[in-house]
Amino acid sequence: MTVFVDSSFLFALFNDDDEFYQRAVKTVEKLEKKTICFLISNIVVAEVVNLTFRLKGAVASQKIFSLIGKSGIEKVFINQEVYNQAYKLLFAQKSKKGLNFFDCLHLSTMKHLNIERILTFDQAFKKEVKVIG
Amino acid sequence: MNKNLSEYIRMVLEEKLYSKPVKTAKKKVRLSIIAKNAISFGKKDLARNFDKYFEASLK
Repeated sequence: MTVFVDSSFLFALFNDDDEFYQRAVKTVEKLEKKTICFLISNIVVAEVVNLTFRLKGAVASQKIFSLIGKSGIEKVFINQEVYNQAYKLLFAQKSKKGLNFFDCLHLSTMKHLNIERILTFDQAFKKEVKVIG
Repeated sequence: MNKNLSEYIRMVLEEKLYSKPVKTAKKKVRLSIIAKNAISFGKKDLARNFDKYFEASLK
């Protein structure tokens, strides 16, 4: 089974002040005992590194970038097809409070790769895919 | 910052998905290594309000 990991879940793991930190740790420990492929995209990495840079600076963001690599999580780069599909998903929404463009990029990546489950604390994904978190 | 992010996205779009992910783990993944090296951000709602913080970081 392959599970997509989004930025909100990674931040819950990175930030030991986060209200979901313990929950995220327990979820990961449980899943690591199973044969699961964890997957992220370059867009997730960009989101996480950019926000960390803004909040904590270059040293912290570089540390997190390095940790993502050391974790062994599989990373894919989005292509033109995924990018174009993300716009279609964004424009198909009736409410402007739904998924933002970056969320649509993640959803488009999942659809492209036939991934049904996502590790996230973003409740907006619940309407689209199976949420673990 | 918006310009930098746009340039970054354009750059990555020029690359193709280098491989489709395998359906089972081919190597040991230790997401827990991230938790063991967690750092303090001084905010407890980062995960819940990630989109809000991220969009603010682009301004």
